[in-house]
Amino acid sequence: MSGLSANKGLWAGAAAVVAGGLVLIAADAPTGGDPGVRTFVLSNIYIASSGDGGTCPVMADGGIETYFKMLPPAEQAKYADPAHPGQIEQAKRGPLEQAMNEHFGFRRVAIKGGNPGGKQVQAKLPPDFRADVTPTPEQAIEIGALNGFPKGRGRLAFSNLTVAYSACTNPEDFPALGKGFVTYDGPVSAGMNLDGKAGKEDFKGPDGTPGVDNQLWRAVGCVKPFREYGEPKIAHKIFISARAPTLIEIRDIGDPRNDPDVTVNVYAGADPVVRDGRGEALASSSFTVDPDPTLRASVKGRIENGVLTTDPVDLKLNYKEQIVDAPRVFRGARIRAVLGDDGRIEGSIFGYYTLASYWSSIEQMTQNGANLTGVSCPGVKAAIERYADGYRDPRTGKFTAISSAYNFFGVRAYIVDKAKS
Amino acid sequence: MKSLGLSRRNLMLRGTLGGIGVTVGVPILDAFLDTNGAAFAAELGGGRRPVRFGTWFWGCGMIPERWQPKATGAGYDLPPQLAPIAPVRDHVTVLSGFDVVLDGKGNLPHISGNTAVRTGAPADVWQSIQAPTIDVAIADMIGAGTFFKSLELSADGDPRTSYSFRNGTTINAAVPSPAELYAKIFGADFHDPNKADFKPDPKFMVRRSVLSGVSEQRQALLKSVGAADRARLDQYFTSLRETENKLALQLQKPPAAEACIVPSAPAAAPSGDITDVRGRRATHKVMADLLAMALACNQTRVFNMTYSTAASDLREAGNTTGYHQITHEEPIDRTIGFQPRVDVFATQSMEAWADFVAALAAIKEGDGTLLDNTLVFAHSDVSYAKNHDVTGIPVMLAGSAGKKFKTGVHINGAGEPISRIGLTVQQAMGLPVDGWGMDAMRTKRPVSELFV
Amino acid sequence: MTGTTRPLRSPLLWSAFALLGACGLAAARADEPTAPIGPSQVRRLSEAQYRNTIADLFGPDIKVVGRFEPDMRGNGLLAVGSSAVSVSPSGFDQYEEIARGIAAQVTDKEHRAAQVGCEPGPADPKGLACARRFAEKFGLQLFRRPLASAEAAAWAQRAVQSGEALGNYDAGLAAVLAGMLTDPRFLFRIDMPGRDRVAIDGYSRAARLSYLLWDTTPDAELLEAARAGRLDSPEGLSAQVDRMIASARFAGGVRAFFTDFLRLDEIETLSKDALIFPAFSSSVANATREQTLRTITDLLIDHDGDYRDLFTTRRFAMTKALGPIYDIPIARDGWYMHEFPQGDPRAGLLTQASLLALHSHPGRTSPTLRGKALREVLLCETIPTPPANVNFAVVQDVNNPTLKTTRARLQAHLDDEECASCHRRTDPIGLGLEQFDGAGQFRTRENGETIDIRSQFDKVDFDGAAALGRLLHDDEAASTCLVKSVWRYANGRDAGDADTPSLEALTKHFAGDGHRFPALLRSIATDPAFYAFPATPRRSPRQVAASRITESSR
Repeated sequence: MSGLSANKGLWAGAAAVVAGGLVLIAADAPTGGDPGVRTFVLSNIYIASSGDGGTCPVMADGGIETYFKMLPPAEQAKYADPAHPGQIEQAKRGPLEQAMNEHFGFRRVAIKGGNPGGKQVQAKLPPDFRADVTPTPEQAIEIGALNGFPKGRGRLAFSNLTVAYSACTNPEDFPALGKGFVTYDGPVSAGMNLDGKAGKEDFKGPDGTPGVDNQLWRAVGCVKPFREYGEPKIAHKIFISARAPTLIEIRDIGDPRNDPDVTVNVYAGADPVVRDGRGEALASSSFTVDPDPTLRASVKGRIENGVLTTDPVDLKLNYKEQIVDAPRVFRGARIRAVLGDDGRIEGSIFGYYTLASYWSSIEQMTQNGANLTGVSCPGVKAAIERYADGYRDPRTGKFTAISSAYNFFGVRAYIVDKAKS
Repeated sequence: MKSLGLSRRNLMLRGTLGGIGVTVGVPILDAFLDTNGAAFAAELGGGRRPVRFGTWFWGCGMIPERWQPKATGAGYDLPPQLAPIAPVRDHVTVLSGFDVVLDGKGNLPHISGNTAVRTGAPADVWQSIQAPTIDVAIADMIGAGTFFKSLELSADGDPRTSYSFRNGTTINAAVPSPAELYAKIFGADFHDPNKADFKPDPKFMVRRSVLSGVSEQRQALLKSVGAADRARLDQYFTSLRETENKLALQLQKPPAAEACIVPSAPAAAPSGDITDVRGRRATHKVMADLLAMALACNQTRVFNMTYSTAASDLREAGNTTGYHQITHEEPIDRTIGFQPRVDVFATQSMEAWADFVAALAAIKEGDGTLLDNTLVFAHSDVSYAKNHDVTGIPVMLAGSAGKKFKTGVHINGAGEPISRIGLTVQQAMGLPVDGWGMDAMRTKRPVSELFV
Repeated sequence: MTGTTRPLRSPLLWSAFALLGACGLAAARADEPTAPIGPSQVRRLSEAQYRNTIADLFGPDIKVVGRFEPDMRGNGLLAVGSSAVSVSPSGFDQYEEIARGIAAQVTDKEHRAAQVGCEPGPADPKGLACARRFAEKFGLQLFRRPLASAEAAAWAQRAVQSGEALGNYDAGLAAVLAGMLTDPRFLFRIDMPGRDRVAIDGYSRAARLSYLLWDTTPDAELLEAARAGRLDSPEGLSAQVDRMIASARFAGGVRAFFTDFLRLDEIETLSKDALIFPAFSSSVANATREQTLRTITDLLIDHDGDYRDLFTTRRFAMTKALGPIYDIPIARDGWYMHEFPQGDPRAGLLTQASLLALHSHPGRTSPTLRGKALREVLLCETIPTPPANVNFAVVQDVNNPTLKTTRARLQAHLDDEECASCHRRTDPIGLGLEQFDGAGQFRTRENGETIDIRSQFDKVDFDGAAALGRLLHDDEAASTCLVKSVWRYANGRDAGDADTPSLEALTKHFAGDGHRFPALLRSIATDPAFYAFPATPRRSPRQVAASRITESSR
């Protein structure tokens, strides 16, 4: 594992955070908390963009864009933007989506009343259906069968309020909608050399470091929303999973600039992170943590010249954002971070994102969500399966995880245990 | 009209209060309609259009070299701080160089100037003012006949921000937000003057009758307290009577108001720092528009708008010091010769003033606009805030008071007492005053150049 | 202060007029009459008292909706101002609207059974008897004395007729109830003389007691004691006073006093720059006020503590919303008592965020404002207003990056003798509090430079807020000021020469008795002088002020 091979822009920013501090920040000598322990709540964990190092000559088409391009010219003209003939007119996206649903036979039925998602068809339900229990995948298929879905089709969607069939529930049924998908082929990406090798699939880091493993970026780096949300300026303003934030605690810190042996604990917060008057995460709030042991991790690390790095560890991080509840599972993840004097943390997670957990976050967007953001579910599915490069399953022989790089921001926080008070 | 089942007989109650036979009368509906109805309609402008009066206040004055026009008369120039009023300049008369004369009295920062302009004599504290503020005097004259005798508004969210005083301890609290202003004027008690059908609502009669029952206690109560408390209770009963009169008005069909269009409710105000100058300007504008429509709908004829308090609390977000503080602390920039940040705030105050005038001018009324039938008296508490200078306090008039006043001229007072303006304004509004102000500021000479 | 105009020929006072700002800001709010407010029979209910009264009479679920006429501070206390204010026309409108809202709820289907409890029927076809009972019940509760028979009959008649006019019996009752809620005998507490005309009568005493000790209307037991004449005897009076102090409701009265005394009501309109103090919000502001009040009741009531310990206590009420401001972990929901460790910079009221934030600017601290507040509020001193005509003709170069801390910037106040005469009294106090920023958060550096918290209070050296608290603890003037303030609060007026012996006795007793606050209130509440009926008609404030201005203009 080489040294600091990471997004150059990120570290430059982090250095500024460390060096400049903030002139008007309030308390800089806490009157509470344990010495040698620093805790942070993360306001955003987001896919690291490759920065200036690599561009996409064309961006990947979303599912609806792909369908649009499949239409015969006369049909296409009905939905085209007169000013930009190759693009869909904003006002026509709704009707186009309906046409696409009909064409492909997408289905969606509501299994609970009061869905906020617009007009819904109420599902015919099996006699033993219980509204207070989340249906199993088999029951979802059963409901699908009762409602005219194709055989064996039907998956829970929209926060388990519907049963649906679409290119996002069953991407394998709709390969055509992945036709406009392009992957990232640039030379540079954020990330780290995870496997210790420098293969032909590897990237160069923004600072030139070779051997960077980030196949997830290769797969989705030209999908517009992921690329955009990876830009630090935008990422700084967004809170992701605010109602279930991740907390990082660093213990046994002797010298905060150089310490060969610290312990890093990762927790799932059970309290939401809120915004302060500046729109940033409110510092020095207290959080209780989720007792679920799978959401906790502990790993050894070290600090060199103010930069923390850790050994590899498996992480499961809450990701609850609007209708999506898809915890992120990283295997063999290393955390790298800069701890600011003003109580902030800025860093990265380099590790293998399991395909199952990543795909779940995509599927949970729903077909409608994918259409709104310009994502092609079949395109993404095929790409991540093709480029997966970690944790081969001995039975199937297939890789189950994909190398990735995620960045995060955080502010000082307290972890409290409500049980003992 | 459905029968109310009331007759004069069964509403008279004979009873004893304190052993003396007393008749307690509950007024019945008719009494409000026939004789009074006609009288009210005439007053409310069946024929003649009512003239409205209002004050507009901003804190911390201006920088004289940057504000005061060089030329007098019509077509005056617009120095940088006055530049924002360019679109409404022809409606606005600028009065510079009129002084508050302290004559040995202390200059209490941000109080002496304001009290002097509004009551005709400088006072140490508002509690010791000797006379009602000018708007109260005018409202006493012209304020009956509309639902609200006067409307006090503040754009800063604080009901205490008001410079409308009947006396030292009776302040007319302000309506401090667009939402409250809307509810007050266009809420449950509003009668659209242009609605064809009108049925007097018995609930107003009942409310009035109940209040008159309350006022029956007046004599007994006043007798049982000392002189000072008597005055306070009397003030209470005066306020009660005003509400009774308002309720009586509700029983009349209001005269049509051609320019009245009921607006939709304002959007919810963004929460947060109300001292932020940008937020203040936006809030002020919404309130100005609502006020203009309230005037057009004849809901009041007298108003007081406060854009910022005397020691102006306005700030730029992210700056540690606010407007008032920098008037004292910001050094004069040698290269330009004035305080740059103070200059910005002062100019922004003029922008808000321009917004206000424009709001009134935007409403067509008769063959002119609402502004033509209004007189707005705008002023600050000081001229040059750095020194709390009360000489040359800036005054601007907008509107012609129903074609009584010239507009669009600049008059320089050359040190004359500023009470001359207050005197002139009261005369324009029909008050029978030939002199105004006290001690060194007493004057009998109006600013005759203002009259057409 | 009637200053003549005098130009100040001195070097520029950079950042010199925080005091001007303070005085300007305070006075521009028209808060502070300087003329003493003398005895009055008529005191207006404050907004809090109004709300408490409604909650006690009609139940806490009755919504009180509307904007109240702002209460006025009279020489520092709202309670004193209540003896000087009346009701303006727009204020009256508001009271009437609020009253109608309350009356409508009280007579609605949900509440009428408990509140009205009768209706027209065969025995009472028009409902006149029911209306009469209604008028008598609420007349007694709202006017705090029984309604005269003829008046009750008049209200009842009006209720029935109004009900007929509106086509709804209950609406008639509501109309009458709204009228009673608008009546001056509800909105004002009007003292009536007892038979001897030397002291006030029993019902007036009941109102005084309940609004002093519980900040609300007399409860049924107190009204009954008034009716039976028991409040006219020292024993009867003591019994009620003891009952009320022992009650859980006493905390409400203590909170009301300290809200007034410490001006915590001003926190409601406090705003801070969100960019500079992002952790401060209006809910945080309200929490700081609640924190101070709970800290006080915990010490003074629950622990029967010494008042002076408020300035040194490390035991603060705490809640989650305040965690970020105090930078401590909060493990519990709701409110609990937090103990700061020995040697912590947080100790005493002077280190609580409420007072620190209240007496600061929106974007930074103000040692001048904090010093002024300490002297005026806690020591009952008067700081004169600053002069207005200051000549800034000679300007120092103030683009000065060497002035990094507030202390450095305010040095100019103390360099110039004219300014120093007042600022010497205020700035040093505030400079010792500088480790707490404008939102009450702790810091050791400002603009990168260490903050020096060594200062003097009346020639005694101290370093930091906790040390200042200890000085205040030992300062007799703080206790004297408290006694005087409680006295003024209770009596609703300023003290005159004739009251000096009373005040001295109270102060002596307070000190000798361990500075216990409940005991102080008890002393005042059982003092016959508290129930004196003002004999001579006094001049109105306008007459007083007029004579003052005539004098000063000579």
